[in-house]
Amino acid sequence: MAENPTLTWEDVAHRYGRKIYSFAYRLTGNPDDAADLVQEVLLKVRKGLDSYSPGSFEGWLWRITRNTFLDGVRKKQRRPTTPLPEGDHIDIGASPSPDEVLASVRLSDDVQAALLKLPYDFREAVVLCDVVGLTYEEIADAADVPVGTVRSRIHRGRSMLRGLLTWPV
Amino acid sequence: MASVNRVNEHLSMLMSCYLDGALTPRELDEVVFALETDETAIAEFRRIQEVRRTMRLLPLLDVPAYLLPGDHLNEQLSAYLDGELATLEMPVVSAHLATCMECRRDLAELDKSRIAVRALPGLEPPEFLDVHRDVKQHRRRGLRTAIAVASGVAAVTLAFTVGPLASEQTPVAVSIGDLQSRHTAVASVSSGAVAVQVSATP
Repeated sequence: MAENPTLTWEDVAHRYGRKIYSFAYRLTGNPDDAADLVQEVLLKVRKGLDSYSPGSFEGWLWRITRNTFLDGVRKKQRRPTTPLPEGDHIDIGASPSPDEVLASVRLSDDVQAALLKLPYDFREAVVLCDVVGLTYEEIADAADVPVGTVRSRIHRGRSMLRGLLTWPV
Repeated sequence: MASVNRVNEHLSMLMSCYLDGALTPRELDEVVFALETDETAIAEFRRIQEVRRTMRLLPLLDVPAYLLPGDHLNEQLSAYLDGELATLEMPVVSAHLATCMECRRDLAELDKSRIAVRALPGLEPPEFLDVHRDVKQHRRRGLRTAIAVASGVAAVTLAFTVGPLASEQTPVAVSIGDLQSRHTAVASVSSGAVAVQVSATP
């Protein structure tokens, strides 16, 4: 989608801030991480808007957002992780242990919890499609993958969610 | 059996794409035909539709206000540096600075400028404008002088209004050059003095 290239970064912040924040929150379940992402993305937009050449603004913006998010994830992975609490209640089975539940204390509801169980690529595709509202082409542009891959990821993500969510009988 | 599963999976993906309006005309025909003829396909379609609807019901979340333009600290940053913030503002500003990289950067820039300005050397007045100590003596000689002095890094501008007490001359504004040619300026500087007095002899 070609957008007006004369957008100021303030316009971008107001127009896309909620979407960027929601994207990060739905991927992490963590409001602090989401806020950090918004901050970094807006900073990059502010620096990069002058050099943005007309084209798919959505693709450009979401590429920045996605790459910034993944950079943040990689940085966190390099940091020492919180050690597992000691005790005989640690369960490495398939069902979530009390500690896993505590670790995901920020999850607001079942849907959020289910989302976090998806592999990243599926989660990202579903969030960009259903939460952010991007088209398949825009998602493909942002994630730098073919549209066919996006179709597959969204479908597989939804299929997994169907298994994870409980539905009223 | 495996072949049937693959077909179902493919059809299931097409139905997912169908809901998003991302099918080619040929794929669309395929989905429509399945939905018109196959109960299993209809059930699958409804399940996908339900998941999609559930995801789309997730609301967009509000961004914390401090992250958006216009909500950054502006004039508060100077007050913060100068220790002039109102007590009530302090925790708000501190909390914002703790989370806002942009304002922290602005604060650092502001602090640099502030330090640079404060490091400018004080200026000494030129020697010929040295201040005389004996002010009363000049007044007795009958000269009333008002001098305004403004100092800057590159230039010093003085405005003098000279009005002899016992003459009919009206006060005039003169430049330093004029003043020197018309009067004998007697000046001496005393340390720390800022006022300037000039005595003139006709």
